[in-house]
Amino acid sequence: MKICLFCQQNSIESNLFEWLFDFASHEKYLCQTCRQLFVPIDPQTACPGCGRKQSVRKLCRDCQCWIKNSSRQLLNNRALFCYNLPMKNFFERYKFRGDYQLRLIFQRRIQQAIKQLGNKRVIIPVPVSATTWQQRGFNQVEGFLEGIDYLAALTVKPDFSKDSQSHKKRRQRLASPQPFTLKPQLNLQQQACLLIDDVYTTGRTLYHASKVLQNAGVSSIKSLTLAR
Amino acid sequence: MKISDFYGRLVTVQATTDLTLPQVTKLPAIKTNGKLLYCQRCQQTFSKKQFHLPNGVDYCPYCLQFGRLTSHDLLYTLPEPNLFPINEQPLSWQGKLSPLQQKCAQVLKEQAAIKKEFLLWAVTGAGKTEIMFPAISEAIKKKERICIATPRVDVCNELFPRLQQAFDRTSIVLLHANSPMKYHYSQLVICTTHQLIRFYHAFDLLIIDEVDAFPFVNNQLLQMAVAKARKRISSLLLLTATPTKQLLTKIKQHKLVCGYLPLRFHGHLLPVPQIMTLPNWRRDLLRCQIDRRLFKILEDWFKAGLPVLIFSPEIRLLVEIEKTVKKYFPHLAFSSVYAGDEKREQKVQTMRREKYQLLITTTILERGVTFAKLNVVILGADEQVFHEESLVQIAGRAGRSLKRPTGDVIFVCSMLNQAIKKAVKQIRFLNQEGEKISDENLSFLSAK
Ligand SMILES: [Zn+2]
Ligand SMILES: [Zn+2]
Ligand SMILES: [Zn+2]
Repeated sequence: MKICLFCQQNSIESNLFEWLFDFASHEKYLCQTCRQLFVPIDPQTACPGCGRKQSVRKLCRDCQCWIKNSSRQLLNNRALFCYNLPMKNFFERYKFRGDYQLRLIFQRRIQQAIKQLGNKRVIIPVPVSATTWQQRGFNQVEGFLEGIDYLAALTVKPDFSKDSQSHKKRRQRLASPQPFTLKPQLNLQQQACLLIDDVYTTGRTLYHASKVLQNAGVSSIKSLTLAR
Repeated sequence: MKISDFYGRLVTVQATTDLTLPQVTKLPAIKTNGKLLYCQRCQQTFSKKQFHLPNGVDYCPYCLQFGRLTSHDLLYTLPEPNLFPINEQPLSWQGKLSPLQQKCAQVLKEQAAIKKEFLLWAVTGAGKTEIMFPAISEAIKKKERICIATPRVDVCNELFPRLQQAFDRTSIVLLHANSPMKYHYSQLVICTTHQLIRFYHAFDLLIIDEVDAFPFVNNQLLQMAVAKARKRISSLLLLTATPTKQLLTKIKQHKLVCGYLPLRFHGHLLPVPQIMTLPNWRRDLLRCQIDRRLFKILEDWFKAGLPVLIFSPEIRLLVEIEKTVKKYFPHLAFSSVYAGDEKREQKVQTMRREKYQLLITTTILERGVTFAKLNVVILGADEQVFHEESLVQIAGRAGRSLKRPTGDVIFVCSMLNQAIKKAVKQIRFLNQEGEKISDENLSFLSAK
């Protein structure tokens, strides 16, 4: 009998229907109770800018500020789940405690979404700094992409510490400098890309990443995050 | 980092730390054995394939809450040196044990001295903590290192101040995930069973209180942690009010020595639950209705000023119960509390100060908490969450104080089931044993 990866307590009852049709296969690592903790976002009604869960499809307040205060383009982000307390807890354990096996919980779900969104697009994960990668032992975004084709086109500039970013206030983060560069000898001219990140918080990370890609001459960019 | 931090502990040291410790033993945190890995801290075996990180390192998924261990880490340890001051009179407790408790304490003291395993089955409200004092006192005199571990954080928090007061010249530390204290080397350790994972042959006397409680019960990792935290020659005392089947089997097979204390500290028998079969209690509740008989009983209790605990089988029902109580008793001071409740601690305190007359709760308050003069109702006593042990524990919340050594317990159920029958049978059995005891005949407590 398999035990739920999230609560590590309840066993998972897989029903025959799921098993036959691989219907909710992304949930095969969660028990009944834990499945309900994560709230999916309906793309039909989500905010078209950041992908936030809403009851009607319209620009959310953050996104309205975003266009008002800068001439920046909206990202058209698709987010799969709400960033609620259980999701926060998930990232706490996956990223900060470093329990790499937890990637499996959402791996299939993310890869399904990539198939829907990223038909013939180049899949590009948001990178972590070399220091983080060495300490954590993995890039949490790449963990979700295991087994599919993707291009690690971006790197964090060596003098840029991402960890110091998480302590900054929202406004400071919005004003932060470009942390990413393109890996040398890559040609992304006229390519359609799909950026993947773990959480959309202020949109700054994705904004910077897409800026680098735009400068590299890509034809279009979409983005996908696990949570918003 | 002090050298004493390593005594009887497994400590992770970052490779960058400059440490000159002559006698220190360094163990690789994770040992590889072909395709399998073994964690030296939590003693679990797991597959290399599953827990291999992209940067080429392996990690242990079982003891992550103490900081992730990888195949690059080392664990440092120094043997427990028992560097404690001479203390001829460690016990500063002024209270007195009843003759029955004294008899029992004597047995524990003897058992603790012979460095073996011993189980004490003492009814709820027997005064287990005080019964341990003489054994602990003896051990302190012999400069032994002592740990009282329990699966429940609330029990830890309740034990710590009592032990600190009872042994006020002895160094003591409280360890659990949210403890306000940081680890320091001490002769007495009060901790959750999880914290034992960090100890390495440290204790001469290890006491596990509430051995039958979650998460310790049926948890192989924690049970292995107990074995590793004890010294090779040491005594292990297990305390419980509701032994599990496995423990009872071990006793029957003579693999575990057991003594039992079937009488409460005040000498009164356990309250026997009254069964009330109400097939529609759930439906009534959703309509904000209470059965007339049950209402009458509650009304009498509230009028008499007696505090009441109502146990709900589900968190979801707490709201419904609150609504119904509000409707029938609009002037009653009450609240509800559940496991994830941020004000849990605060509400329990308010109940203890008798500012609430009723607290509606789930199984989280089934053990470890004592309210004076209490009466108890279990709704849905026939539902799965309430197994035999928890029914006995919950019934045992009543009648614990000298002021009111009796109490009323009502099991409301849709229908009678095995767990209820067995729980009542167990309580009746303990009461029979209790009745046999009189002051002249205290020899019941033979270590069989
Ligand atoms: Zn679960
Ligand atoms: Zn938005
Ligand atoms: Zn481990």
